[in-house]
Amino acid sequence: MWERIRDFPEQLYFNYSVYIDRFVDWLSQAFGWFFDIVRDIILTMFDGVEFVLGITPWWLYIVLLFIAGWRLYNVKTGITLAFLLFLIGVSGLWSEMIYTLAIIFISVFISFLIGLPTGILMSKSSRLENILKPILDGMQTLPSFVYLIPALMLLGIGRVPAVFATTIYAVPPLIRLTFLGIKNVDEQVIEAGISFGSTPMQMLFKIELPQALSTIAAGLNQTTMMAVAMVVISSMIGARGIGQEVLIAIRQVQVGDGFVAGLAIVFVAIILDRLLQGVTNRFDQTMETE
Amino acid sequence: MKNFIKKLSIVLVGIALAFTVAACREEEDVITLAEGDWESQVFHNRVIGFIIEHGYGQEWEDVQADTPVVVQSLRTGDIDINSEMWTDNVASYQDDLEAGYYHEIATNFDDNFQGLWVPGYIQDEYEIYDVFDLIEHKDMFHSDEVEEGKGIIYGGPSGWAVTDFLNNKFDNEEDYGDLIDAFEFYPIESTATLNTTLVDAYNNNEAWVGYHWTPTWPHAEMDLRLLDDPFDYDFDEGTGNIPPTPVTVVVTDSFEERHPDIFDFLSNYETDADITSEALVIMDEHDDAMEAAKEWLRDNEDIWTPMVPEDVADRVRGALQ
Repeated sequence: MWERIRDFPEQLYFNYSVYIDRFVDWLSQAFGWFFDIVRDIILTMFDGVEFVLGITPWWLYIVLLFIAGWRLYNVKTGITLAFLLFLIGVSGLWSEMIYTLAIIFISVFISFLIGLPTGILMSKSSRLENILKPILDGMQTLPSFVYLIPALMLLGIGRVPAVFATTIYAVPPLIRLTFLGIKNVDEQVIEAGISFGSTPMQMLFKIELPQALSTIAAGLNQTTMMAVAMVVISSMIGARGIGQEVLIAIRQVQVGDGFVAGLAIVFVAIILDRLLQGVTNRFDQTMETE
Repeated sequence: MKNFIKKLSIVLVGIALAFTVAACREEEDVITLAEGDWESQVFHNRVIGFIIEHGYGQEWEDVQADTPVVVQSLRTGDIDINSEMWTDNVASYQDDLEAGYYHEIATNFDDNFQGLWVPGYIQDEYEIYDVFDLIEHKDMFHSDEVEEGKGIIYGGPSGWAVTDFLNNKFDNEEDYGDLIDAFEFYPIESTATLNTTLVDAYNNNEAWVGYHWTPTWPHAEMDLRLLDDPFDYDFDEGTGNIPPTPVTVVVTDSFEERHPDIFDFLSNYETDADITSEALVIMDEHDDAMEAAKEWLRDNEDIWTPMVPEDVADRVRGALQ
């Protein structure tokens, strides 16, 4: 008797997976041309970014990183960041890092193109805000393999679905923080803007966005960190780079190699994080002095 | 504040109680079966699980894990049984056996095929029978992930012995120079991804060539043909056709002592690739793997009843009714 009450009634089972299957089939048939275009665009971007990153000699990166760390923080930070990058090279992962960086940069760039306008629209419309918030939660919590397999069907293997998956995972913080930054602009500033008769566009570009800039920059930083976190998952769908080295090492139970590759990912994250934060701090300082 | 402490202490006591109850349950000896991400092992585990649950009255559970995790857990005893140990893919296998971490007690099957496969419609239309026949049709196998003008040969995960073998083949300029110029070997780090490329190509009647192995569900569902390699087998040179891998049943070191009767049953657990392939077709017809295993047990008494004593077989039969 208790089991009757306790267990979920089988009569209510309803399997809606067939409808999702049909939807994906329909998508690949009706929009195949669209995904081909997306594929070509991402591949062209990737080739361009990888070419630029790959043609630069390794020591130039280290020198530039040292100068950046020194200018943004101090000599010590400059040396540390340059040393971390040097360690990646010592580990024999330089070309893998270039590949991984290209995926991260393109994903962050696409996230920026999508995230910034979406965040702005969201701050202007409370209806859109109510719709988007649960979707953003879903994008960050849905296990990535669930959408990776359909992404593979629509986009093929390799770099393209990797950029797709990374973008889905990485874009929410940028949208959220753009939204927050604009929402939190001081009311008095806005009222001042209105009383001076500024149009909505002037308001956005002259008042709201500049005020929200440091919050948006924080969002961009988080987005970049999320993109780094997807490096290993990307390699499960045919992307190369440091993530693949991690997978190979753990599959062969090579603890040492796994850590070497894993730490390289950590170093990439630290370097990108410090650079972005340094630039953000600079923005804040110049804003304050103005 | 007082009120808050009261509430907090009630919650804490509740949590402590829940843990105590959970801990008590944990003490029962539940047999753990390792489950990789391929279908045939899901099937064998259901058959073994059903027999030990209903024939021997022993609780069991499956643990889904990648092969290295399974091997490590067998060493520590966190996993009791691996019904499909693909021995060639576990580098430490012989050493582990010698060290006595776990024991090989039966060969589940050793008549499986591994190698490079193409869909039947590709073989028939373009007459591709061995790996060198691929060369003149390289353009239709092209993918954006490889160099312009080259075809792609999909590979299994890096770290599998067979992937090393195929890598050796694509390093062997002397014997395979033309193939290497025409094709790039591209290991895929997840079998789910590998299968997706295959299914996607097959459903769209597109060209596909890559590593695969039997017994797996794609071979039960699709017409796939193994490509021949005219050379003699040599692992280091990467030449020839891959010989079958022994797929064994292994148990952790303490298992024989704890469950001697189930140990005896598993020592008899020997099937073959055909049996497994047929079972995979049954699996495909059922949403629930357990239902498929039951149907198989009902229809194939001649295979499994000799593995167990008469009284165990009777109890299993009774549970199948």
